[in-house]
Amino acid sequence: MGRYVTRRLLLGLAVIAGIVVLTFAISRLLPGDPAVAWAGPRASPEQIAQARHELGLDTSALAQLGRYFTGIATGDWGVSVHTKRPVLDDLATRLPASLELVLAALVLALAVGIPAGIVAAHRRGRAPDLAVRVIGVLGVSMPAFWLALILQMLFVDRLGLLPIAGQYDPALDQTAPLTHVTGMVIPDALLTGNVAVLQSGLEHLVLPMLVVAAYPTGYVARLVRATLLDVLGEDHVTLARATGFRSRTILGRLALKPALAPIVTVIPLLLAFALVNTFLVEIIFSWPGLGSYAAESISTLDVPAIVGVTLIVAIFYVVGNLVADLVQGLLDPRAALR
Amino acid sequence: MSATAPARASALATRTLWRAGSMARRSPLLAAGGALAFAIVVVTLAAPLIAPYPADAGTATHPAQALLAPSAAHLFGTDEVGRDLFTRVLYGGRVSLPIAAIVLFGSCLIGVPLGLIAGYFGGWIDEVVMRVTDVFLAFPPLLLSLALAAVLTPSVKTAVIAITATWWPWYVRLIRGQARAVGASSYVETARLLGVSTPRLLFRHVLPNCLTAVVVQVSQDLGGVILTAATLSFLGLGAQGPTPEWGTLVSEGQDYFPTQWWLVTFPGLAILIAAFAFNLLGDGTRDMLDPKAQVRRR
Repeated sequence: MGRYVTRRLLLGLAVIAGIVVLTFAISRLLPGDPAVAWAGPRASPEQIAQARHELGLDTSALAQLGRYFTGIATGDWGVSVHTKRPVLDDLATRLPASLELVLAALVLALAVGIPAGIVAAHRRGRAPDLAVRVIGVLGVSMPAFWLALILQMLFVDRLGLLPIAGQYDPALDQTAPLTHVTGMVIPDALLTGNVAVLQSGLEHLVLPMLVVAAYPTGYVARLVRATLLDVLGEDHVTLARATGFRSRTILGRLALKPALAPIVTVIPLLLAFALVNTFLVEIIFSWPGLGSYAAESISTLDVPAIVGVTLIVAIFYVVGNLVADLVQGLLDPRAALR
Repeated sequence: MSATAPARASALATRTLWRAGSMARRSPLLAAGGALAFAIVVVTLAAPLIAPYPADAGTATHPAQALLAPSAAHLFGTDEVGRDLFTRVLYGGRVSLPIAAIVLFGSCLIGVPLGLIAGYFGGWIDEVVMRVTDVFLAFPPLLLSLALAAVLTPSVKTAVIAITATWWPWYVRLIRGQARAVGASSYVETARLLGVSTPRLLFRHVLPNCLTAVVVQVSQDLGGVILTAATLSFLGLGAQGPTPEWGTLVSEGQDYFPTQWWLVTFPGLAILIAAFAFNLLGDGTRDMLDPKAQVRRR
């Protein structure tokens, strides 16, 4: 197990290094001269040359890559052109909002998807099974941007039930200012006992959370159903059935635990995937997270910011994969040998 | 001979129908997905014949009929320059479906040989191929597509390149696993001992045994690629107007939303139905071809 963990960690680091090289290549290919962007629109040729020198753009590609690597490793991810702040600081302020949305959506997806999958497997081939399968496929086929717009139309425009955009009512900053602890609105409101912001925050969370949850809910329901049916087909379950145990007992005592193991391993990956899916949803709901930041950066061709977002999401992917592999290794020691 | 031909044809038709019927009973979702996907392909191919106003698929303008709500004359209403939305949605499949086909064909073209080589030879070749694949896998499809689309000018071609660039690694992984298992089997071992050349071994003996997995994967990916392509177009990184791509249509309709609700609702519904149909088909195909799933279905 120890060797397996070390090997996986080293491989994860190698992949992150590869990603850094790839983002470097992309940033070099992006249109626009970073020196011109950096010096500003009214810069003289001398100032642009000065900026080029300061940014190290007059050295060889390999030297630049070396600088880039040390910068990433020491926490210097460059300065955003449009916010004029260090990219890492920008990411740190934006990430909590995205994480809050993704975590809320994942909790919802697991709370709905797992029971739905169990019911489907339990009533295989019957109406509930068919319903869960159809809804599960609908969930993974749903264009997130479209669902977001349709929900906005129904619940905001037609019914007037929920707020259209943002994370909470900005007017509350005057009457009930929120003290930042974690940077996430709802945990902060809970921790500081800020009821007004909590209520407003929950109202703002409902629609984006539903949209982000659509895909993972469908995915989890399908996965739970499939793995549960696999386990139910095994010999020890048949033996238990022949011995006369009730099917509810078999499901709860024998089948559920081994069937839920794949869900545990897939959660980190779902989290990373949902983080990207969130981007579109954030843009439509003006949610102040990484997605809105990425959209702003792309529209202003802000290279350091685009690269920063790409890098942080890719790192989430790698870490998600790593955690999934390690959990798999813990749950099923055979996996570590492969 | 001439007398038996119609009889034979009708017997064949009966048998095909009977088979389709028995399959539909065993796997209603596969049958529904297959029928829906088939209908979508037929409607897409026949769009010029079905569409009430074929000229509206392009740059035609009818200012007098701008932004009409759905009616008998315009089932899905009309857009801001008076084009019939039903026509444009019908033509949308002529962009999305070929994109999905080309992306998956391209992904197989890159992924299958790489996976075959990595899985069959193993060792350092395997290590190098798989680590490069891991780097690309760690890039979320949407993000790499965004970055690539920012480098290249947005068009259908760019979208195809961007999606393919993030899709092929999955095929390397899949085929590598298959090729490893097949390569270690005793009949491949025997063929090798008999002196069968390596390329022949790879393409005649190993590859055919991996193809089922490829078919299952492609059928499962169709819906996902359609969805990704629509997403890129929605962000303005794929098809550009006046091309009636579904994602582009939703994006254009956003300006008139929610008052002119039909402009967003119907093209989006088309994306959902197409992805749903192909995902159902993919699930059913896997259940049918994957022996492990067969046991499960029993």
